[in-house]
Amino acid sequence: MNPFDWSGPEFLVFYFFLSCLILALLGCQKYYFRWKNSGVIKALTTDVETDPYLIAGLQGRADTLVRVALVALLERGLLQAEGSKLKAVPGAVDYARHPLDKAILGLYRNSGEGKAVFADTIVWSEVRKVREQLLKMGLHDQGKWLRIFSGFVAVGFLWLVALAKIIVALERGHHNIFFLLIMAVVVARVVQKVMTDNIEARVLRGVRERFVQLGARSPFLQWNGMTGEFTFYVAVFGFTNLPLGIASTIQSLDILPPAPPTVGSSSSSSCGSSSCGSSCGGGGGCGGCGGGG
Amino acid sequence: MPSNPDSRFGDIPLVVQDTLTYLIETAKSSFRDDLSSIVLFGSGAEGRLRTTSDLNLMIVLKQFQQERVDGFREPMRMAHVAMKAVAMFILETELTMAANLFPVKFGDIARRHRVLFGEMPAALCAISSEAQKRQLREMLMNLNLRLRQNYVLNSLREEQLAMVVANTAGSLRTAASTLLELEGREAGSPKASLKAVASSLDGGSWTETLASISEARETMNLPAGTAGSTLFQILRMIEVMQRRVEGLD
Repeated sequence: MNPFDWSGPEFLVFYFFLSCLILALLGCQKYYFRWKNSGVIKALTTDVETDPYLIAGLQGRADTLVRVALVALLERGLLQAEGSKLKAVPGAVDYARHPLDKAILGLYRNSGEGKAVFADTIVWSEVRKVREQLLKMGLHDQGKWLRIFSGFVAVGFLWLVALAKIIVALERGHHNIFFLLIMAVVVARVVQKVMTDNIEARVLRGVRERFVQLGARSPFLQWNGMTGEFTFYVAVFGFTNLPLGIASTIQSLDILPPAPPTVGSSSSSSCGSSSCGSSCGGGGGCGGCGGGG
Repeated sequence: MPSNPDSRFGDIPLVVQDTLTYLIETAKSSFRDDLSSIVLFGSGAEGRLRTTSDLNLMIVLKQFQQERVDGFREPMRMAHVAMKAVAMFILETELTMAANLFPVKFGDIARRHRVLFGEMPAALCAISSEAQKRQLREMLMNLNLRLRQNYVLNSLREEQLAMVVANTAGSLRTAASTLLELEGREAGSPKASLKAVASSLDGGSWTETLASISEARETMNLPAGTAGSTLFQILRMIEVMQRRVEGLD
């Protein structure tokens, strides 16, 4: 009954069921931690949903939070856009309450390029604080490292079993190891999927459920500094599908991340810019370049 | 197991119930003993919210104290952005006066509401028909004047006129409900009331007009060439409603 003595097809069936068993165990572990984290996620969803900056902090990209803050200040009328430039309204900083708002308004006391905000160290330090606030509120995945460790052990074990069978097969003059190799790679990929979980994405999903009607209303949204519908919209749904009422202002400011590079083009120019350098130095949700929020 | 164990909410969608529950809890913790009742009214109370509908709330308080109100600002802003929740903050002592000053509005609340917390204020159940008649006259006249003004100003840009029709629909329907109630007839939902009023009118393609009003309200848009004629049909409808109000005396 030594599986390594079994024929190729028999071993493949054995390997398949062994993989399924291990994946099931990893799945149970994942859902145990999901259950364990569910209280935190529910509480966090309620805690963050009234604050667009905390919601934006869940997007995982520090530069998204900066863009949301810009939209908030534009929507309130504290910041004015002139083409690609921004300028704070005189006295605006006195109305700002959030330190990130104060930092941005301070930067644009004199007219400056919209993009300049991504290179400002004071702004990034405030962005980092928002991320730290989220962590203090409980945004940490309790089972993350155990899940990753279990995933590596599982893949290591399954690859070891496959390797042992391959050696045995080769020693016996069999060379039909191709299907086993494929299966080992596929199983490793599935394990990776099973062991990854994103607590931020799950909190964000909860927040999006709350704001589902705002998403549906997006074609009717108009600048309204009273309540900040655009600010919440971009904080919750990101910048990929901007409502018409805001799109032209944001696009003329040139503050959106570059579109994903097409095949054959290089992304090095955008990622080598000073703005992205400071983004990655900003810690927390280093987003770097490319992609949308 | 019923999908909606909380009878306060009836058939209101779950996502709206969540927001309302959150608002009720934060109102209780913010206003504490100042909070008398929370009443949901309008289309939300009937479970007929559309994407563009307001979620109307009446929050009855004993006092409006800044230190307590401040705690409710963020939840309220979130609910406003997420669900178009709009709250009227009214003191218990103001209810009778407010109901007599705005009897159509409060009459509508009395007809279509759900009490989410506390008791339904008694003042809303005793609105005089004289006060309702007076305000209905004012309301219909105001609608007339506004519509004429908007037609002259906006009809050269027809897409703007569709928004005028959309923004008139709510008041027009409420006026129809109030009229039917004053006539002692069954006033169903405001939409059904307007249909009932329109069906009693002579001539004109009322079905099309009502459909255009609904379309404008739901999409903020109307097919090219229809907004102007819809607006004139509404003016005719208002004229007839005005005559019926005068006939009540």
